[in-house]
Amino acid sequence: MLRRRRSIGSAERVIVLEKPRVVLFVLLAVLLICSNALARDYIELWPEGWSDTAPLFTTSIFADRFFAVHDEFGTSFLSVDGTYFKELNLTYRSLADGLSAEEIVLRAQAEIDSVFLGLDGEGGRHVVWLEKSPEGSSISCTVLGVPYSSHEVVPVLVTSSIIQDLAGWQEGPITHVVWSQREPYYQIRYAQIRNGEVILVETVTDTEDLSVRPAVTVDSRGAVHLAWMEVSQTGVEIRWSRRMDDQWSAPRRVGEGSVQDIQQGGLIAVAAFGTEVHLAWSALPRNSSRQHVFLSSIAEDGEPVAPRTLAPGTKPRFVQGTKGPELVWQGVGPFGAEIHYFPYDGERINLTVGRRGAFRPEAYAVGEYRYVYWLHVNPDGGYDVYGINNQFPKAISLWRRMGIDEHAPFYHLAFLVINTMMLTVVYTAGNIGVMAVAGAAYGLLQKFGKYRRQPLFYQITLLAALAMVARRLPIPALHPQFFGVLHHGLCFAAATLGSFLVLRRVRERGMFFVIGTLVVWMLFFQFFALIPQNILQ
Amino acid sequence: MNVKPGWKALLTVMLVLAGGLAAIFACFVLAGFPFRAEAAPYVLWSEAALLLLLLIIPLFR
Repeated sequence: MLRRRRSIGSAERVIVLEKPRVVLFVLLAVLLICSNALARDYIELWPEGWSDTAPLFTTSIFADRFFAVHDEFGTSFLSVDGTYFKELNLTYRSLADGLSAEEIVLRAQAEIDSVFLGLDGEGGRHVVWLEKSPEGSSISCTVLGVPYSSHEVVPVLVTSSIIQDLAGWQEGPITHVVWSQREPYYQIRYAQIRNGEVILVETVTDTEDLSVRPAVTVDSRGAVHLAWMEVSQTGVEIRWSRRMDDQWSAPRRVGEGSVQDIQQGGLIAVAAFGTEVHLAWSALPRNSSRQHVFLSSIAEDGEPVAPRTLAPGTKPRFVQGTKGPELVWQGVGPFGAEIHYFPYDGERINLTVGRRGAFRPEAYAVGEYRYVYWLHVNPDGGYDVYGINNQFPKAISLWRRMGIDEHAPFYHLAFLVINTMMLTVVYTAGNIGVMAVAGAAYGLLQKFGKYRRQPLFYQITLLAALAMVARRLPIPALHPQFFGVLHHGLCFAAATLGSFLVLRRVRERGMFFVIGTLVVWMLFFQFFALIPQNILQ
Repeated sequence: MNVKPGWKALLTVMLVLAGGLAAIFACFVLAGFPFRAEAAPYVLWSEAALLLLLLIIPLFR
């Protein structure tokens, strides 16, 4: 880069810098070294309009779910904590100013199978749990106040039979509890508890198949709705029955469930809106090996609507306290499980922040605002409960809106540009087949004078359109991930316009021009298309 | 100023990259950062329609 030259009329040797090249070289070297050293290679993106996230407490996944409930008296959590399945702590927590205010272990060092936490509307927190011991199984309940003063554990059921899958619904002072009990086949049992006393116990099912994973709710007329999974030799069915006038209706088939979902601790989410009941569960759709969330409803006449597939995912839960059905569920993303929220009359929102897998969502509404909680793996052991809400949205800087690290924006930008440039070459080379097909089609069109005589901008746009369509053909090629129609269209427009600007002075119109145009367009297109993908990597 | 054609081309490329980047970042700011999605069938049909339109235009000029 440095060149020695004898100056005219002088014996003195001078060093002349070839300025532009050296400056560019130095700049590039600085960018390459510093950007890699200082910039983070990905940025955590927040769903717009949602709050920051923070860990609330550590729990376990021995129970199928944790509970997060809210009323005018505050927010309460119920979870099964611990590291060994026979020594679990049933823990109640209340939240104040976003932080855990009270933490009470309601049952210590026990094998707890499933739990329920309900609100009676007058500040009472009704807790029911199912635990196992060598002597048998039992269901117990207790009531807590806000703030906590004391509690008394009341045994509801003690049996030597195998019982599992406890679920419940709180309707004022009455707790509706359902579970699956083996006698000798697994049947669904239903009980009502009032003031710590069991006032009703019924067996709902009577089949030789496995009736498991019950869920219960009560509609505005006071009718109890029960849904469960019926496992037979032929598969899993989602069934529903309604208790009206002290009688259970004949079970109706609502849809198909899946054994995989039962194995993974899947539950049916059930919620009543007026007299209409909505059910959500996960199962395998036809022609798919991936579990999807299914949604169905049952109108007042008791006729189930054919279930519809919502999205790939598991663990659906209805958002509590809403006027219409709103769902959260555990979806599938590039870095593992993601949390998705489906508003009543809006578009699906991915609530996951960052790369860590998030699972087992629970959600409730506070007026117009939504609070969603989920689990993240804690590197030191256990699982942390995280929460997000749209009541206190996180302030997002302009850099972050662009997907650029606000702490080192220029380094991140430089890193992103250089990284994308390198990948662009690879992706363009991976599209040789596409370019060959587009070039051949363009060559054929040039045989016709009407196409041959068109201006340069038309020629470039035609080549670009041919390349776009050729990308869809079954030609082995590398394609960046799709990030929506707007970004896709923008990439096409920018690449086409950019190619025109670069090539507008070229007089050559032969084969080399076609090849050059295709390569230039493809380089620009891949560069722009790879930007969001590289930001999220 | 007499600028060599090679530098001019390089400058144009840089401008195109910078302009395209600015447009994409502006799109992220205005419409929100996009998340990965599956390309809907209508995207493919839109591309095919654009090609068809481009093929038809010269026939009527």
